[in-house]
Amino acid sequence: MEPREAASVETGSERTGENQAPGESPAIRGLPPAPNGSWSLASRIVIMLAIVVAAIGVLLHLTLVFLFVAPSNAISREYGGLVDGYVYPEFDQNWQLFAPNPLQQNIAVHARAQVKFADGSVRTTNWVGMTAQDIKEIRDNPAPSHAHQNMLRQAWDFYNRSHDEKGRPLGLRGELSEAYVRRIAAHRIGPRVDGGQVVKVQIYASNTPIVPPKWSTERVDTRTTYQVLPWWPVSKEEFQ
Amino acid sequence: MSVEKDTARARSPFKGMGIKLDTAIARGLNRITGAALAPYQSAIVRIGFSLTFALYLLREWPHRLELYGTTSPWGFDLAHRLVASNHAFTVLLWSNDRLWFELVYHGTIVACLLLLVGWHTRTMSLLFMVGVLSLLNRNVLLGDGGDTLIHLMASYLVLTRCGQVWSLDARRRARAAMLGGDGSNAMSVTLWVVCGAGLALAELTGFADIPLGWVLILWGLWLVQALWFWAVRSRFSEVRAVCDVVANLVHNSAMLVIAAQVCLLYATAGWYKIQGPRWQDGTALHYPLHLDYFSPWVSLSQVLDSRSAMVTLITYGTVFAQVAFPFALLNRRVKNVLLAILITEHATIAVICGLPFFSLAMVFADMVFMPTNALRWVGAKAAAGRDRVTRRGRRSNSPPEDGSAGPRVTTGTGSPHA
Repeated sequence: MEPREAASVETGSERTGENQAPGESPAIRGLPPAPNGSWSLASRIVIMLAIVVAAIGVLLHLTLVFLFVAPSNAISREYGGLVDGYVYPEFDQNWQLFAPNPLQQNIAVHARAQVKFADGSVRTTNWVGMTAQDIKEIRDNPAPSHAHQNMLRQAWDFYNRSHDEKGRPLGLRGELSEAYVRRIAAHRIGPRVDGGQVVKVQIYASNTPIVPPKWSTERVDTRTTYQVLPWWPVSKEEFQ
Repeated sequence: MSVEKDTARARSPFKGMGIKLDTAIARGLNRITGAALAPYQSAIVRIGFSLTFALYLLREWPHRLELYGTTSPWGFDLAHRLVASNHAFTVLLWSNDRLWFELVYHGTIVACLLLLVGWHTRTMSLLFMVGVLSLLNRNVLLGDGGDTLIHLMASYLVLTRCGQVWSLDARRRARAAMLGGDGSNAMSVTLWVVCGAGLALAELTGFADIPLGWVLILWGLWLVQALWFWAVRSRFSEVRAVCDVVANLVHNSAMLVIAAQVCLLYATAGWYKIQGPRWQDGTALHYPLHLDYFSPWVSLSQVLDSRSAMVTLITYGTVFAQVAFPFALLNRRVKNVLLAILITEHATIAVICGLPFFSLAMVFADMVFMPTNALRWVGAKAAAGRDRVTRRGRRSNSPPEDGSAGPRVTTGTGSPHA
C-alpha cells in the first residue's frame, strides 16, 4: 500500500475537479467502465452492496483488533465480550515486545525424578538443568529451534500465568499448564533411569535478576530466588 | 451559489467544495473498484510469508514431531481440551495418526513453495492458510511474535489477488491472453474438484471435526471459486465484470487491513514501551542482551552492551521508530527512511537475539510499505540474476536458445517476474 501515492493522486484529481465544467457529473466515473457501455441496475446493486459490506467489515475488524491490543479502557470494557469473541482464537495477538519492560531476570527450570526399581526401592535422581540444556543448543546457533528457544520457556511462563501466588491452578489452563510442564520434564528425563521406572517428577525454577548496567542508577536486589513445586506423579502415557 | 458577489473579497475556501468532494469520492470509488491496488506489495507479502514459513518448517524438520506431532509434550489430549475451549481451527486434531501428521506437515511445505512461485495462487493461498493455522494452533504455546504475524497474514492473504505479478499465474495469464483465453485451465478445475471432494469426504466420514464457522468459510470459498469459473466462461460479460469489481474491492480491503495491522503492531509495541521505566531511562536494550535464551553469540551481545551511549541511543531509537512509524506513512520520504531503519533493526535482531524467522516475518511485513519502484527494481535484479543462472545452465546443457519460450515473460506493466 502506498498511502502517499494515493494522496498525491487525490490532490491531483481535486485540481482537475476545480476546472471541470459544472454540468459534468463526476459520479459517472465512480465505477470502472462496464463491458457493455453501462452497468445494469442489478450490477450496480451488487457492487454497492459489496462496497458497503467491505467498508463495514474493514472498519469492524480494525476497531475490534484495536480495542483488543489497546490497554483496557472504558470502551473495551463495555464491549469486552464482543472484542474477545471476535479476536479469539484466530486474530489473537500480543505486540508488547519487551514492553512495558524487558524481562529482567534469567529463569532456569530444573527437574528431578523419583525412580522405582523392581526390588521395591525408590531413589531420587540429581537435578537436571532443563534450561541449561536449551541454552547449550542455542549457543552459537544462527537459527535456534522453537524446541529449545520457546517450548520450555513459554510452558513455564504459561504455568505461572495460569496459577495464583499460592500455586493453585486457575481453571482449565492451570490444569493444562501443569500437565504440559510435567510432560516436558518427563520427556527430558525419559521413562527409565538406571533400569528403574520414573514415577514422580519435581520441578523448581531459579530466577536470577540481571544486574543493571554499571552506568545505571537503578538499585536492585540481585539475589537469586527460587520457586519449588511439589512432587507430581507421572503416568507411563505421559512419556510418549 | 452566488459567486459573483464574492469576487471582490478573497475567494471563499469553500468554493466548489461540493463538486470537489463528489469528484474525490468518485475518484476513490473508481480506484478501489477498478483495480486490485498494490500488486507488487501484495506479491511481496505472498512471497515473503510463504518463504518464511517454508524455511521455518524445513529448519524444524528434525523437531517436527516434538513440536507439533505425535510425540509432543503438548499432547493430543491437552491440545484437544484447549481447542475445545477456544474453537481454534486445526486439522491436526482430526487424528493422532503419525501418517496424518506427516501428510499435513509436508503438505504445508509443498503449499508454501507453490504459493511462493504463484502456482494456482487462489487455491494455494487457501491451503497455505489451512496448513499454517493447523500447525500453529496444534501447539499455540510455542509461538512467538513471528508466528502470530504469519498466522494473521496467512488469513488475510486468502482475500487478496496476490498473484498478479511475480507468479506462474501471471505468466500463464499473459500467455493465455495472447491466445484469447482467461488463464484458468484444466488444472485449476482439477484442484477445485480435489479440494471439494477432500473436504466432503473428510466431513462425511466423520474424520473432520470442523467448527461451524469454518465449515461456512471453507465451503463459501469453494463456492466463490465455482462462481468465478462460471463467470469467466459466461456469455454475459457483465457477470464477469461484476465479479472482477467485487474481487478488487475484497483485495483492496484486505490490503488495507494488512497495512493497518502492521501499523497496529508498531503502535502497540512502541506505546507500551513508552510506559516502561527501563525504556525511559535508556537501559532497556541491556537486558535482552543478557537473557540466556536470546543471546546465541555472547561476545557479540557483550560488544553491543559495552558502551552506555550506544545502549541508550538504540533503546531510544527503537521507541522513536516504533511510535513514529504509523505517522511516518503520511510522508513518503520519512516513511522510506524509517522503513530502512526498521528493516536494519530486524536484520540485527535476527542475528543478535537468534530470531531469524521472527525477523524475516517482520521484514516482509515492513515491505508492504515499500515503494513500487523499489520493489520492481528488486524484481528486475532477481529476474536478471535468475536469467543469468538459467542461461549458464542452458549453455552447459547446450540446447538451442529459444527467444520466446524462456522463463522470462513480461506482463502488461512490462515488469520481469521473479
